[in-house]
Amino acid sequence: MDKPNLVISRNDKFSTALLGIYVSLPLTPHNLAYANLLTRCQLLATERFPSIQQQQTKLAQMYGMQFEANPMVFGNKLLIGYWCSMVEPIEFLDPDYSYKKCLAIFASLVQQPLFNQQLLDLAKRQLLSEWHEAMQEPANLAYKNFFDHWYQKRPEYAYSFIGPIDQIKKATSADLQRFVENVASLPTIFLANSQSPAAIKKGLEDAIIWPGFYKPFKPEDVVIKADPLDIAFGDDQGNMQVQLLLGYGMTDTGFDQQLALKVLSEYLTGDQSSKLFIKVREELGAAYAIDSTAYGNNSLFLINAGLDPKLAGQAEEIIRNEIAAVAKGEIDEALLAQTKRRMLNSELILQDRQEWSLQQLLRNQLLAGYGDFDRTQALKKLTKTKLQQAASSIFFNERYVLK
Amino acid sequence: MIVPKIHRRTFPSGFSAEIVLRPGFEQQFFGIMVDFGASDPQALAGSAHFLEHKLFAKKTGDISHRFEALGADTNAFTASNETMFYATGIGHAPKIIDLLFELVGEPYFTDSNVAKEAPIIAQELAMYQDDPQWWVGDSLKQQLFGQGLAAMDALGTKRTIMQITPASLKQVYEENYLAGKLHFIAVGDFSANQVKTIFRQVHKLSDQYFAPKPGSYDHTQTTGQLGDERVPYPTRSNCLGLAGILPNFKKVLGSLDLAQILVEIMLESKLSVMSPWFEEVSQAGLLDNDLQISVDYSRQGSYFTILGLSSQPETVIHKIKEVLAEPLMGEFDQQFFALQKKNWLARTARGYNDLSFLAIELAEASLDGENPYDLMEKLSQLSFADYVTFVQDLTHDWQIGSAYLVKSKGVK
Repeated sequence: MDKPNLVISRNDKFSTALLGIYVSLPLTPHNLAYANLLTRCQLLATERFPSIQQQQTKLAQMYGMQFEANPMVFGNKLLIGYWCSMVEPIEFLDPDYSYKKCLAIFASLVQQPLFNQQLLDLAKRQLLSEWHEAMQEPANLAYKNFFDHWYQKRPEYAYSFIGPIDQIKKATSADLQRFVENVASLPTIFLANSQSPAAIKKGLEDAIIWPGFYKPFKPEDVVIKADPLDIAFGDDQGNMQVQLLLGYGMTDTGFDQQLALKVLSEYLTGDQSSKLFIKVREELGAAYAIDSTAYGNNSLFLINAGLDPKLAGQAEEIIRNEIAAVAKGEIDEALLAQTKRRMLNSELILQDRQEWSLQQLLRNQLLAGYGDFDRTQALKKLTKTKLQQAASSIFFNERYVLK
Repeated sequence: MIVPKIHRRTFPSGFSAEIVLRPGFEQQFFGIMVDFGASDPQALAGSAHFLEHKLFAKKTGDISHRFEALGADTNAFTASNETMFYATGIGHAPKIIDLLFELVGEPYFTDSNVAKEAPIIAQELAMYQDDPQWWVGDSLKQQLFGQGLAAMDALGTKRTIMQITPASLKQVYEENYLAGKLHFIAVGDFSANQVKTIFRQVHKLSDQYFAPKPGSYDHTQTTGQLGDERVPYPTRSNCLGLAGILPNFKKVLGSLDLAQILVEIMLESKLSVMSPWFEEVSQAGLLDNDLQISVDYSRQGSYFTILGLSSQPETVIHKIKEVLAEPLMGEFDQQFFALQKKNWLARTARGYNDLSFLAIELAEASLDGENPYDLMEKLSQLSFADYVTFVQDLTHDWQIGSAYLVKSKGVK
């Protein structure tokens, strides 16, 4: 390949330009831990700006240019994502502020990490401290414990947060350097939404160093199949609310089916009219919020709620019965029509979010067949029967309760 | 900087309205902000928030369902001195505005619907209380405001939530939901004709629903005992916090928002990851993550809070107090101020992209008589010497307290 992987869409309404760089690698515990360490180090300091103060000062000088870096899990795929949000230069008309300068800074932050033990130690302490604190919140702990059980047969996928703690603790600067040498040659893509795609393209010419930008960034099958488990676990911490997580496995994860399960999620918990919101919150008074998510890439349909301990049993029964009712075809057709209308509106409203425009570009590049799937048409055509089929295709697989 | 076009009106009843144009955006945002919130006078703590929940109840059922039938989303929130009801949608603007006024303007409280809401709000409170940071925040609020409403969670307590009745809600509603205390905002891609139509509709509906009375406000400020509190907590959390009351907080160049920004810049200059202080405490292994700093002003008092994580909270709190006592004068402070001026310009420009955020900021500013865009002009022209003088004055006689969690069995 003689041209780098590069897709830029035109920004017609946002006051900022959003730039993203994504490196694709397999999801393994080691990769997840090191991707976390690497991105945390890069957020703090890099070769060109070797202290936190220097790096933050440079970003502030560029009108508060925002730099973010995070690993992202897409099924069996791990992406290291980097983002730069810069105010469009036309807003300020400052000759010292341009796409070229911002791109050069962004590219250096991504491609020129700093390897030093002191920085690495700080990154470790930050990650471990955040991890420790996140696990003090019952909702986070319950989520982690749920996934530990869900992936008990495939432990390589069980780490949904920072990766194995022991690998984070043991990592040395030399280990991290070896990891980066490998990352630099992995398929990498640059995506952007900007008022001036031509200026971005030109600015990038001198900024790209990593050979991975020239490796094919191919769509792949990222779905992890659901292992049949049928398990129930629980822990007791004496919290004020009971955290209930019910996981159903998906047997079909085609885009059509994923959309039908997304409709099921919205039908059950999408808004104040949704079935479980009304039955569990409004009628039973058992919860403030109840959520469900169709994790297509993980073959998981998850329902979770923080519940009043006295009413948790009744709430669980309602949830299970409602899914069973949809699977039997007992569907409120007016609510389904309303859910579809709202989802169609949401598709339009998402276009008002600049991050979404980048996410769409990424999905098109990453997921085989995504670009050819007309989500809006599929949503319009979705019938009661299709929803019933989707609900009857999922199977109960895990119940986790944290009291 | 390119500033959004804003149309404003104040009707004879005292009800005010503004329409902000954001061309190219698909969604439209509509909101009514009430200049009354959780810290303002009310017999039972949590009444303002309970009212916010219960106004969605109508004779025909939950009004949210009628918004949702139009494909619109609706929600509300309660802050210290404001309550906001809002809806976002695509198309159907006149119907959404009708519903929004019915939502805010037509209370329907019954024994049964009030009794049903109490356990839901109790669960909302329980959800927050399962977060360790809530306990640090709670201690700091009590230190700042003593026994006043501002010291309590906006939701009230489990006890006060259960004591609220239809009659008590009606009283709070009638005292506060008055034309002079209400502000309408719409943000989106509206044509000139739509702007005119919306103003006409809002004028008519505001006259129909709200008594043409000006608002009255209570500025009584209560303060607590600021000290250093160890808060028992069942698990080992490293949360810590400091809070400072600002008795001398006042307008700078005619703006409370500008005063707020200046104090925030000062705190950031001393404590942010860019500061020499952070480098020192980080190298000493005392603090690894940045601190969350905020400055707020309300009718019940003005204050700042600093939240963070450390396994050595006592030492970190001591170090923060030490650095806060030092004067602003160095070269670093000067450079930092210049950078923050740029940063605030950028923050303002970024704010245009999120219509809900923009609407809430502008509605608050309107109720407070502030203009965020004039403010940026004033900030960009402010000299370092003036900044130092203003900040010294604003933080004169401040008092600081702190709190951190200590593992202790059998509490919560």
